[in-house]
Amino acid sequence: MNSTLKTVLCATGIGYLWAAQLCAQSPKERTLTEQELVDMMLGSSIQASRSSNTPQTVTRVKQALAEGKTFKMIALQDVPDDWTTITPGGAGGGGAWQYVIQRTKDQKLPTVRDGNTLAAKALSKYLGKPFNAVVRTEGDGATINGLMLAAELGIPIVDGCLSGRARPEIEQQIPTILGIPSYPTAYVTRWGDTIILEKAVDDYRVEDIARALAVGSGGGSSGVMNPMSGRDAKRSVIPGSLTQAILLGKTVRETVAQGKDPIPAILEIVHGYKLFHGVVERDETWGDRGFTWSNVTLQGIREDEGHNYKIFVKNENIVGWRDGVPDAMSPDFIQDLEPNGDAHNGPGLGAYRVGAEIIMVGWPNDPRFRSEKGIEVFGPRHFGFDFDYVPIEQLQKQRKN
Amino acid sequence: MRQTVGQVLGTVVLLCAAQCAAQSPKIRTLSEQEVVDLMVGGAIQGTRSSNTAQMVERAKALLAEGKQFKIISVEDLPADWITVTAAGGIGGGGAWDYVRDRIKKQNLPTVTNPTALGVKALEQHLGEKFNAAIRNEAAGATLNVFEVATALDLPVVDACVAGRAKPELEQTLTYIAGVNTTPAALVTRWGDVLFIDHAVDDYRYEDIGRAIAVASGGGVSSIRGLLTAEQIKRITIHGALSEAILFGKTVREAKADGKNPIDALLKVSGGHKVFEGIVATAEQNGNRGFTWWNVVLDGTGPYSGHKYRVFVKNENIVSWLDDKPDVMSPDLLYNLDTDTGQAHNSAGLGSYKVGARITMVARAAPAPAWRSPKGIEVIGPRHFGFDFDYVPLERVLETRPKFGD
Repeated sequence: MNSTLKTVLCATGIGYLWAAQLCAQSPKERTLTEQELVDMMLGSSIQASRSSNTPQTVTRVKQALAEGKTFKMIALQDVPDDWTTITPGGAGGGGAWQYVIQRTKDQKLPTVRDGNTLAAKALSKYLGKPFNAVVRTEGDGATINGLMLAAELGIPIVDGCLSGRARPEIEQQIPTILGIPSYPTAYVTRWGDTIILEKAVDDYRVEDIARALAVGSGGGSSGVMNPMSGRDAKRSVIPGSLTQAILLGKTVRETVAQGKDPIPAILEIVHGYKLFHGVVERDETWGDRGFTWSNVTLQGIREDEGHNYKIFVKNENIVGWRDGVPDAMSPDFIQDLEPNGDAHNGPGLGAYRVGAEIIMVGWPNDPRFRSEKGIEVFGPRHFGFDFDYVPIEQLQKQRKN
Repeated sequence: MRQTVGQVLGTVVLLCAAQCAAQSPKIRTLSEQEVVDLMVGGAIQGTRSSNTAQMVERAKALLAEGKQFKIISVEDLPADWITVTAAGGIGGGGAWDYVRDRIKKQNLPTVTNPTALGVKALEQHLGEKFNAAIRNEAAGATLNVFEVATALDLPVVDACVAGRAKPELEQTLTYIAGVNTTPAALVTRWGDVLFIDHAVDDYRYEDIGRAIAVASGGGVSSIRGLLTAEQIKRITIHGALSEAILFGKTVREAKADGKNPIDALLKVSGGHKVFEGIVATAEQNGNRGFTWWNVVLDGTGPYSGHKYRVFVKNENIVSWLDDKPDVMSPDLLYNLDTDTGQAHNSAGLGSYKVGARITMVARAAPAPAWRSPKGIEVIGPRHFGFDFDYVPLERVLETRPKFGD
């Protein structure tokens, strides 16, 4: 063969490979800075619709950076159609079986680290394809879990979320509402038991099964769910959730540094409402069949002096009543903030610390959650209340009248 | 060249031999009478109450559909066969009501044979073909294994991995022998399909299966325990199905001949009558996947004036004669109908019907491994929270009072 031709062919080959490489990298991924990540942790707590432990997530993200991990983010519209996205989706298990905890302790059963990554690898093997990006399930700790999984797999996190806020049950997410199933899923228990849920009748059943695994596995399991094409992700993921979290965190940080009240700045970003200013008087919490339930009462102070606020919590804030009148309800956001603008750092999942000063705020969720199916899975009747869902805008308007 | 031809010929002959062997393992089809006897005897082996009549009815319905009950003896198992333990769902006493309520509202359809569905799913998941099924325990699983095997046209190995029924999944000879029960599949009545690719031990498989059962209306089908022919030979109880047929035949013929069926059963089984009486009380306590009973019998005949207490966790586990520990698992304790010699028929897993006439029959654990330290660890009295050691039946019989029968 002519040596010139060889060179040309070779160069073309290299060029082609280089172009392919470029193409593979071309989705606009960017590396998040430490400040952005710290702000994102605070902002994710604010998005949680429950009490959160921001210092803990900040410590985790800083530690990961110190270990040399990098966190990349990609905008939802930049996710290629042929990518496969994955979402960490373990379940908590309030009311875990004590005999399992006792026996595994007696057996001195070793535990595994990083269950979400193990679950992602098991599901990837089952599906016979790699995952290209991670999508966050919900607010709060799910953000750091999503970031960590993405970093472990060396893929970006999508700037979006399946449900915007945090929610107690798996079916309370946009893909379910649009008919995109959350299975196949994979779970790994703290001891390394590995489970694939190939098929479920519906996402309610995925929820039952994930919850049962948690209850039978010491009170939680790691897991991944919603393997989706980029095409499906683009129609079923709420865009911009992480950018909003960064903005919320940054705004609170800067406002507090300036000695100003961060609450109005938060409300401006989320187009939200200040619902109540009070002190936690009572918090009755119990754990049962995988959930943590609370009935909370706040007594008003300052402008809300003489009024009270009650909150029903199923892991997250579900319904708030001001002086006995429904005032905000899921699927909308209902957040318990501390005066410094951070989420309330309660004594347990969704729990409130008696005596803490709290500012309740709320804002509308994605319009898709307000569809018939969205209200069916996440509205007040789903939780056993005998009243219809009313959007927060309307409730707040009625209140003022 | 000649050598090559020879090699080729040799290979062909070898292949043919292998083929012929693969095509003609000695599979035997049971007669209708054998099927009926198998159900009766499988229930007797159950160490708990059973609805024998219903098992027989369902088995006959399968025969009426043209299904054949095929068995293969352990000695005849081809070396390359894989056997699946696919029978006997996992119970879920104390099932979550909100799941039942929601599914009732949703009007969700159920699948006809979740276990068969699970076998196919697990085959596909693993890229394997299973050649035979084996019974995981006695009682209803005797029918279940054939429901699966007939649906998939597989023979059932004439063996059992337990030789009794037992409440927990890790209570098998395979676990005692160190063979992990995973990979496995769990299928719910509505057709949810899970693969347990790995459980760290069979206790964890038990926890997981039980939790899924509790979250699935109180039960789940379990497909697990893939065993090679070598493992079947080394670990399981050989001839367990033949024994069941023998037990069923024995009580049937004794009854027909006007003889005492329990005496006849004692003779063929090497069992010991340990009590005869009437059920005085049976208190239930079911939660998180099991059904517990505390049963007291008042003695009759030679046992008049004596009491017999049985602790039941799905199955008969420990008994007391006048407050002294008597028979204990892993030894076998059957509660039989005094009149028919069949397993006591009572509604509710492991339950006893108050007022029923019962004869308690004990047999030594059906495999030496059950009495090994690990066997006693998984099913001996301490496992169930009792503060006394396992005493083998032979020793119990030496020290307990003699009754004139």
